[in-house]
Amino acid sequence: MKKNNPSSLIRLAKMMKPYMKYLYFVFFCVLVSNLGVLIKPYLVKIIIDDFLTSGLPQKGIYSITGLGISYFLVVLLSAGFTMAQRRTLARFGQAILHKLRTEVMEHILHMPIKTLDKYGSGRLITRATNDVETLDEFYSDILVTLFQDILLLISLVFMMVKMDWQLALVAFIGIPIIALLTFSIRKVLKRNFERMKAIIGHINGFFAENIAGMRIVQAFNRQKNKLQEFRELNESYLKTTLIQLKLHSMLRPAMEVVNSMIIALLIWFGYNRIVGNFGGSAVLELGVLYAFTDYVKQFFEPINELAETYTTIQSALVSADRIFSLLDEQNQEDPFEGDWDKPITGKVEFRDVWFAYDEENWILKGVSFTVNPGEKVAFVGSTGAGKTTIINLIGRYYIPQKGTILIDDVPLERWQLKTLRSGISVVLQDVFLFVGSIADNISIHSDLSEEQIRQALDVSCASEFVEECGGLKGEVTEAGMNFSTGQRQLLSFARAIARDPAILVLDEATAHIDTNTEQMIQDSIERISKNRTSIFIAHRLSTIQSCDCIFFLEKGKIIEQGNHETLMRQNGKYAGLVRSGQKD
Amino acid sequence: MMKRFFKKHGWRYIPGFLFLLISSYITTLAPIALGHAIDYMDMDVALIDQSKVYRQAFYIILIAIGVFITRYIWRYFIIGNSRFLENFLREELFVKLENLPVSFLSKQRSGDLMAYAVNDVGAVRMTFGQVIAMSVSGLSTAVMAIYSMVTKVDPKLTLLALLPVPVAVFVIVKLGGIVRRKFRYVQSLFSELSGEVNETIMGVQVIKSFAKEEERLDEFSDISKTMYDANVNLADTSSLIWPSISVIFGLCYAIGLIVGGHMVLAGKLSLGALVTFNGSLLLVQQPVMSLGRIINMLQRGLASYKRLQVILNQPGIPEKEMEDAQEPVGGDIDIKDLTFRYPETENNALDHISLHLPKGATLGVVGPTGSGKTTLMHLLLKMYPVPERSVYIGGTDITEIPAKAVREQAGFVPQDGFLFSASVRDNIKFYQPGATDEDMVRAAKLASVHDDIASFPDGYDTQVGERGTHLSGGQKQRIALARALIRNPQLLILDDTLSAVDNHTEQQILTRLSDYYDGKTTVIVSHRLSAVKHAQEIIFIKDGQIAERGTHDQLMAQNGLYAQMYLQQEEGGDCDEKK
Repeated sequence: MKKNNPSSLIRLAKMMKPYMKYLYFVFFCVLVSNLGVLIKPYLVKIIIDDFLTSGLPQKGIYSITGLGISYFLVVLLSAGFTMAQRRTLARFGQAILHKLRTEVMEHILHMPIKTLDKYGSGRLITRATNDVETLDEFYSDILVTLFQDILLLISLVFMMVKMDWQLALVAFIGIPIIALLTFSIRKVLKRNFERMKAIIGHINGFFAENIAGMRIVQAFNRQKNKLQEFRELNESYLKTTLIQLKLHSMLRPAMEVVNSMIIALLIWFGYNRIVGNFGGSAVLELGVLYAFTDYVKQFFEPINELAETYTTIQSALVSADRIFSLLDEQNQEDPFEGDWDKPITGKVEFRDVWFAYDEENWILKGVSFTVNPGEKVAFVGSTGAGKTTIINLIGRYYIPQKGTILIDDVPLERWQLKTLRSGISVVLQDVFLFVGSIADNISIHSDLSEEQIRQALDVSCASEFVEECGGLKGEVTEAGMNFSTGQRQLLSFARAIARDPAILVLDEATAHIDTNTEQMIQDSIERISKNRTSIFIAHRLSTIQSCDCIFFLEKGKIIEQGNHETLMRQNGKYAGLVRSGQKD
Repeated sequence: MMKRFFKKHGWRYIPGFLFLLISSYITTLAPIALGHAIDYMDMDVALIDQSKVYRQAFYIILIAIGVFITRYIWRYFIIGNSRFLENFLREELFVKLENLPVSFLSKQRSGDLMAYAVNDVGAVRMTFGQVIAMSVSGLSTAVMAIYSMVTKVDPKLTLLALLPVPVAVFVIVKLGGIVRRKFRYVQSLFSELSGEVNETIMGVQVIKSFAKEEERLDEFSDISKTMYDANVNLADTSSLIWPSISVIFGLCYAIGLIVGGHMVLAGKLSLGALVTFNGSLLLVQQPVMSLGRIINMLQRGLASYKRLQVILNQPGIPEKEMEDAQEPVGGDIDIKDLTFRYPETENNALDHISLHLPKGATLGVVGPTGSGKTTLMHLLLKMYPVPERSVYIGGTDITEIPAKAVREQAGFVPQDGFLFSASVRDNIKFYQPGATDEDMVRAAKLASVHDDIASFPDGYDTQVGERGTHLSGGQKQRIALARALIRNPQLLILDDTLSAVDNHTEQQILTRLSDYYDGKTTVIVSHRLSAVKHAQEIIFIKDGQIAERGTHDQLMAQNGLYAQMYLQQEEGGDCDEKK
């Protein structure tokens, strides 16, 4: 197991700082209601010893009725404080949680793409959901349970010693036995539970996979074999659950056996005291004996909870470590961000740009080019030649190691990031759509009028199918799966041009789509690239023949450039590629 | 659906309930023994009988051991049975899913199907285990405790002290309902929140490219704040339950103390009886406290039971479709005026399709997405109910051949190249019982994937799927092809199988197949026309109808849809240089 970072505990504590007043009040409530737990048996003890066995005279509150009413008042008081405690605790825990969630999310949103890629979306999602929820348990449960249980144990011990120290010593024999039993059974329970979780994970995975692959299983008549595999998993799960059941069935009754033994011991000891077998003058009062039987029963619950808390604290610390190490990641995309915020007109220039994702692997080796406002250019080259990297650099998602990139003759580092990115629309290869309405997906948190959205859809040839799918309010399901690949593509075009950006960067999709859709996409690209600087990362040659300039990238360098005709006349790499495409 | 389960495992409830009742009874004896012990000591020192006191102390231990044993036994039978039920239901569900027609499966969202297996089976288990056990044991313990209070202590005192209990029951039922409603709201917010996290992280590049980080964060923060409010609101209600129950029972104890105390003083009740009374009252309190949980679990269990029933009662694939073939299936395939429509849709997916596919021939199927190509392939495999007198294999109507036999002679390769999470070896060999490693390698070589596999560090033992090595789309498709080829099928169906394989490899595979698979029928569906160019017949399907048919040359000469598509693909060659 990974060692926990001790500073995580300190940082967990620091998170609580603004909300300490809640916590203090919670602790105060715990103190009061805990007092109730101790006083109740003591009141009964007085009734038994003073009035029922000794027959002392009753007057005022010091009477059976008076103490009976006091008993009820104590219950009422501690119930009130218990309620207040729970309500305050919810505010305390939820407030921290809200803050933590927002902080983690803010951090993730502002992390550079490089760091995001390092983590991967799966891990980031776990950090922002599961790990944060685990800490919820820490703040809204563990912290107070710990305090409450330890307080209860200490005050029980104190109360018993105060009432009759000899009897108390007899009763304490039970504590180590209960603690030992609880911790050891819980340990086995936990190990078995881990096994259970692993197997049920397998079973669920198996289910999910078979649902996805049912067509295959049926087409190959393999139902029986799959069922056999499933049965084995299902049986082994049953076995572990039965072990869990047996252990659970033992835990509490075993405690009760121990408790009963202690009570029997108390009776035996008490009897001998009463008849004076132990000599001395200390007379045992029956009320004390009764109160002790009550107190002894209260030992189990806090010990059991502490044993449980121990394992939850461990997992909370693991989550805390993960969250804090995420929060420690640098989250400034551009440490030298400038404040240039003039609207972009559309000139793009690279001057001897060198770039590597990791130290030595140069992806771009001195790339220089200029695109004037309104021009259309395309980048061509084999996979890994550095085409997509150019997009990442223009939007300053990555920062080149050497050279300068200028937009409108202003170096990127002098631009305000928000202005820069708002003026450059990027269409990525894999289209991502958000769950929500079509309009939401086009506007992406901008205040666009319905008119603007409709116009964007029109220009990108998407109006027709959008109308069929319920118009602007039409639903977009997870990852836009209710649209075809082509339709998603068109929606992403509409989204890119809705804000009328000066520069459009388009990474063409590689997926094979049928010819009709292909044609529609070509038309759409033609229309959306009008009146703005357009940079295409092309994967198909038919797209780009009308471009003002085509750059052929190889191993991080531009080796050919010019328009289609020029390049064909040059008869170099580009021309070769075009010919090989036609030959097949 | 439960009948078969109860027939096999139902008997377990008999010893279960028997021991449960015994256990409840023994539990109620503990306060009595303690009361007696107190009574035997509550007298003049000279009169105390040592053996009587010791005997009660001994009884107390004995009772605890008795409870330990009986409780262990009934939990094993009753709660254990719910685990058997869980096991049974999960298997039923799996068998059902395996035998549901593709037509049903394709209508369901996979997430919903998973929810049956994960949530609903669990909820039904809780109902048949914890809920039954808790309610029966709670009720019987409470009744027996009240009984011993009435008989061993005093009926009037009991009645008086228990007077507030119905209020407690009312409160817990009433508040419990409100808490459940609020809790459901919190849960729905939680899934909304998780959804938002997912979306934001998956779409972070889009958000960044539009520079909308702040706006997105505000939206997230709003949901998170709503979540805060809902949780606090829930706590404000749920924090009432426990204190109000404890106040009501506090009243019971106080009444018992005051009235009972005075009775002891008046000599109408022994001190021990009062102790017994207090102990028994606790046994009444515990079941009332758990009432809320019982109702909660019961409601969820019933809802889940209904959902499970709906799926388990779905008609599966008829028995006769799963029989083995009477005689070998094979020969020419004839499709005569086949018209097919998916259930609950309005348009024909396939419209008057006729064709003759001689044994050993190759058919190419092309056309736009959604035109009906995959539907036709699924019908050749009897994945959907085929209309009578429209599809014939070797002269026999396909409706008269069991689906199992039809599929046994076929090798199907789907477009997505779906593989199971297992080794490459298992993914290929699993589909042909008795296949050897040589068969496997031969199939892999035919599918041009042997070299790829051999280059993996673990070779054929490489794990693929979710937790395994990441394979490219083309590798998956070729392994899926090998999986079909190892069966040596009479009919090979490639449903746009080579879409992610580059042109060169595609041609290599097709050439090998045509050499090796002489005399076997092949149907190739493809978007890329180069894959079907050499087929004996090519059909162009559009809107469920055969729009054009013929050989490549004939179709090119026709200068119709096919020719148009071909020319388009010619000029739009790939510009990613393939290695």
